Amino acid sequence: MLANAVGVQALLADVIPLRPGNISTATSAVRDTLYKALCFAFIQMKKLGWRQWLVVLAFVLVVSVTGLLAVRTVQRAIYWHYHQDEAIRPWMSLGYIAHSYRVPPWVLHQALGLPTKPGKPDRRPIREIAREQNRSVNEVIAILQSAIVHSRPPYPPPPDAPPDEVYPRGQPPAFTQEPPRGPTPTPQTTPEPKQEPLRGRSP
Amino acid sequence: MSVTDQVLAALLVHGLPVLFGVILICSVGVPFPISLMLVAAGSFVEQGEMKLWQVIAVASVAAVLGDQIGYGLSRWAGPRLIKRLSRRIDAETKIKQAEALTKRWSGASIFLSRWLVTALGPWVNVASGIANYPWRRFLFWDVLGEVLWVILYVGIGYVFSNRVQAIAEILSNLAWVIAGLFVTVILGWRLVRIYAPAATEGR
Repeated sequence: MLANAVGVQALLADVIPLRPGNISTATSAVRDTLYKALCFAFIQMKKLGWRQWLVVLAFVLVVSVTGLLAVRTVQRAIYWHYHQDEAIRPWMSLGYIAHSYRVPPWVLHQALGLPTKPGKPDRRPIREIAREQNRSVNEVIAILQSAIVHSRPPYPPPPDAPPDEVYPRGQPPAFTQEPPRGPTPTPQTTPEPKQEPLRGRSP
Repeated sequence: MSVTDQVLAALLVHGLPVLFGVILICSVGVPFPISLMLVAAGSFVEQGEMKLWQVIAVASVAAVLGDQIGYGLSRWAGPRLIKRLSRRIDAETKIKQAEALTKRWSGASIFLSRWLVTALGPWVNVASGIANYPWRRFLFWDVLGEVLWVILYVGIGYVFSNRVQAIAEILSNLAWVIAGLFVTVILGWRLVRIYAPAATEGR
């Protein structure tokens, strides 16, 4: 048993070579304790039956998975701390998107050619609006993103209430024009200042 | 479109019945993006699309009902299953030990698995049912825990109403981390108990 412990100690010393000049007494004391603990664990493990081994295995597995999940959670929390806008998803309603992106809802209604003053709140998810308008959900998301970009600085902020008649009759506003059919439609607006990316903005 | 998107779109259009149905199914043990749904409901409350007391009442009743189904089924079917197993292995003493342990610890474990370690909820229902845990006490801890869970998640959705997707993502990750820590502590305790006698023997 003692020979085993000495063997393990020698093996560990090979893996982490001693450099007395570099390591302080405190560090070497910590390392010494670690060696002893490892040697003890190694010796004890040889006594374990298969059931105990299962517990050890499960413990190591659960600790690793929990650790990974914890790191991921912290990463996501840090990411969302520095990023304001979440991606537009098919389940979201225009009301929710307007709330989430802090733009007046009528801007989004107008962008999709829907009445800006609906009688009752429109609770449909955008996938339903897309189906009704014979568009793909991605196309609708692109139109909404364009409308959001155009109602944030450097563009002038839109008024909270929809204007009764801003555009000459028969001429739709700039961002309700039919976007080109394709995978990523680009907004057809006149002077194009530097566009701010929607995701990845710092607060 | 993912299941999450489908469920949330249905919640937007149909409201409370969908909330009730999904939470009920989820409490019995079917995995669903339940934290996202409750957080979304909280956000809809903040936007004035749903009423707070209705959401809390419906979600709590659904959760408690789902738990009762899980508990009732395992209480009814559990003993028969165990009898079959007992013929093969001598499980009688083990079951009696488990029952004693459940009676001692179940109050806390039922309560904590409702709102803190939510991933273990359905398992605790089954364990309590099989161990014949008194129904009234189960109901008491269940109602207390579930109402706390609903208020907590809806409250978080209400406060972070414009970032439902992001918050729910962090919350569900966090719930798994907590469940992992819980299991780590249990397994760690078992390891200590395995090692302790071995250590005394070795001296």
